[in-house]
Amino acid sequence: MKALRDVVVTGQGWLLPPGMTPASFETPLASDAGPAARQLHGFDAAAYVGDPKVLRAMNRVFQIAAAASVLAMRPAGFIAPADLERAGLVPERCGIATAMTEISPVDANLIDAIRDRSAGEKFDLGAFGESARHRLHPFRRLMLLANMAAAHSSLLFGLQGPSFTFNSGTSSGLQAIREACWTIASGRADLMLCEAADSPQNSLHCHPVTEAAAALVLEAEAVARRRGARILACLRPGPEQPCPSHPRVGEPSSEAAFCHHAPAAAGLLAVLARLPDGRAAAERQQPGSLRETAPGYPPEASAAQARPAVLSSLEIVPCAPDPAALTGPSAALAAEKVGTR
Amino acid sequence: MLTPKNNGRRVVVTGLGAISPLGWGAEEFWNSLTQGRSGIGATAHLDLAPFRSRVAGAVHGFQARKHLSDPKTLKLMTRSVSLGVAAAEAAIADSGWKPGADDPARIGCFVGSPGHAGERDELLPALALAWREGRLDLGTYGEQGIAATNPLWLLKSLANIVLYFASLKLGSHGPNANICMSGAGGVMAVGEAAAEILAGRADLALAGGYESLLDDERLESFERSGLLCLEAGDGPAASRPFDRGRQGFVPGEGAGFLMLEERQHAQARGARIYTELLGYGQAAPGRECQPFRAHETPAAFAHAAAAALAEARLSAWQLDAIFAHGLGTPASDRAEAEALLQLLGARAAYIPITAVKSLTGNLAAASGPLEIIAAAGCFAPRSMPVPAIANLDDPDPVGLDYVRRSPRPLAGATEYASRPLPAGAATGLAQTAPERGEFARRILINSASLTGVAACLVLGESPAADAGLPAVEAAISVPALQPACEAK
Repeated sequence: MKALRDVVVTGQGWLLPPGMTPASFETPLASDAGPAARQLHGFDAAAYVGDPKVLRAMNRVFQIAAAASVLAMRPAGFIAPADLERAGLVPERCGIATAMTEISPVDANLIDAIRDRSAGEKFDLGAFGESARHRLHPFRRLMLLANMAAAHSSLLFGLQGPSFTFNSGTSSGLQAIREACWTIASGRADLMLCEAADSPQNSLHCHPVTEAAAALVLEAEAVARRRGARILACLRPGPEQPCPSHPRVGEPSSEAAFCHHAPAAAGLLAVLARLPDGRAAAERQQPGSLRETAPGYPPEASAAQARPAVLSSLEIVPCAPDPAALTGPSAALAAEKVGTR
Repeated sequence: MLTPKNNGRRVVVTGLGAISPLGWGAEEFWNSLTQGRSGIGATAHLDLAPFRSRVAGAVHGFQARKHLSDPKTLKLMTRSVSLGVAAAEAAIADSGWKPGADDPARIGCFVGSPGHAGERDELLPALALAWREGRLDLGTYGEQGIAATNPLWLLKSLANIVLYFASLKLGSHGPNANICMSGAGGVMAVGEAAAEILAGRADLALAGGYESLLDDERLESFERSGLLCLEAGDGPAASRPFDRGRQGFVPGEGAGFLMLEERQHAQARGARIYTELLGYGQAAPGRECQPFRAHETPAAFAHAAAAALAEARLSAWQLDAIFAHGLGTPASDRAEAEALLQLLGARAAYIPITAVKSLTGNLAAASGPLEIIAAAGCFAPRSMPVPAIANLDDPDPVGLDYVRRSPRPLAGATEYASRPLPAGAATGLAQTAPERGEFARRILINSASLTGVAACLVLGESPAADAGLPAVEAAISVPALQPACEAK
């Protein structure tokens, strides 16, 4: 069998209600936190996605996914599509793996359409008919596609390689990372952007969801070193592991808290928490298996929810920043545009 | 790509499960395709009167209670989910593989799904309860609305519910994924499952896709998008891939699943082999296009097909047929044709191209796996001719060898020599035996999502020694469905 390539993390980004600092990982939300505590306050999507036309085409959950991706890609040296080639990468060998939460068929656009067409103050079921349809966004159905988040981020950064969107509840994030790792390790791609996002707007039917997004930039180690990227950690994907018969929920770790409230982003947040910038606590920087804190559905949900998606094991070995590595074209690009972190 | 490949492992298809507007089961599907019998028309389970799109590719005669091995689970399923589970069970049954025969950790399951599976109508009573002074009051919604909703709604709406039921049926603990990539999801599920088997992380896997575009929410949203065929008079004539008169796609529903196995694993148990997966490629459009117009660009089609062919170690002109994505919208067909012209060069005029969606409509994530099943029927021993593209009166764009009016026998290796060489090619594999001689015939499958991501597979005809093995007895009997044409 062909030798597998090593995979490293070269960028990270997250948006959580407690903030965007490493300390935000230390602030797990209480399970009874109200809707206000679960939302990103002061989030300005225009700060991340400059094109207003593109912004209007994005649901809130796609906006925060794109924002996390921008936060991860910028320090890795990628701001515009042309930056991939400037860093010596081939766009067709750069891809994306997205973990996406449920996209509810009852969204703000639909509710507005009903309100506009409802007779007086009464909810009018008939408003779902033809008259309300004219109030819908022309591309509403495309805006509800789970894979539209990946499409937006691909276009933002010019990623023309493999593109995945996974939705398997709380294991989606780890599946995205696992697929991205294998895609790089087996030689199908040199760079994979992993992103995940959750938004309460998609949870009218569901348990409370925290508004959260996370992103990781994964690269083949040799490629990252050649272009002088800052390497944050090594990732080693393991074989699939059977899902535990009963998920471990309610542990006093922030991962468990995030799992409970941000199902899609949970896997990425759990990895981010183990990277040098993600958490200062030394014990968290030791190599460990995510199986120990396997995300799972909340206990009130049926076992049917926990069973289908098998969890991945993933070994994370954080790396101290290597100043000697920060000399390549990407380091120069990052310093020129946003400064090194 | 199906890498790594230098470990001697190969992936074959040993089971087929097809539920489509053309009927139940691969044989019924193949017969309908050969006879040009369309599955497009009125629907029995959905009133299309409120919509401008009056025709659909609906599955007729499907009785979930009758066709599922455990009807009690139906309370957790929407219609599209039940179609998916039924097709998954049919593929397992068709393969003759018995659960318990393999290490659960070596069994994979990959599903291309639409994502959210819930039906909006079940939420409407909760919305009505929470409607206060012309606005949705989330507090009331949480306190009273959710209590008024079917308590199983959340489980029914889970995006990975088919993956769950299929994994249970298989007893699978191995690699798995619920891939939500709309029209490309089904082919991606098959490609990713094959990659897991080739890499040695699984010995067999169930893979496929399911989706229904036939509900109020999807129809009313797509109606505004300009992607649907809205002014169709005669039902079957509405779906017109690659015809100048095409107006958009016809929405449909269906499910297609395949049992994939490592070749030696299949041979060891004497399984019937339908085809071998030779190459897989996937690509995104990436740049210089608008998000909602990305499926109208040829770049991803071209990159994905080239990657799949490279994996199969084939030149484009060594293909014997192409099962095109053929969505039926003016721009998407033009983009795909442009990519094929670019890929095939001077040979474009000699490689037959068909589009199954002309008879089924757009079944989204289910289309790709069903098109793989259709292509598998063209290989021995079934040796079905390449089906004709229905309603193709005035080809657009020109330059491709569309199969029109009547099916055409699949060409074989013996015909390579009679094909003209591409301009400038002094010598080439076309003048010699195919590089991998045992694969006398190969077919390219194209698929794409509305976000512009393309996924392609190359299938090869199995060596006669494999294909000729006696068919294994099905694990469960599958009752026949009423053919689509009789149900109208």
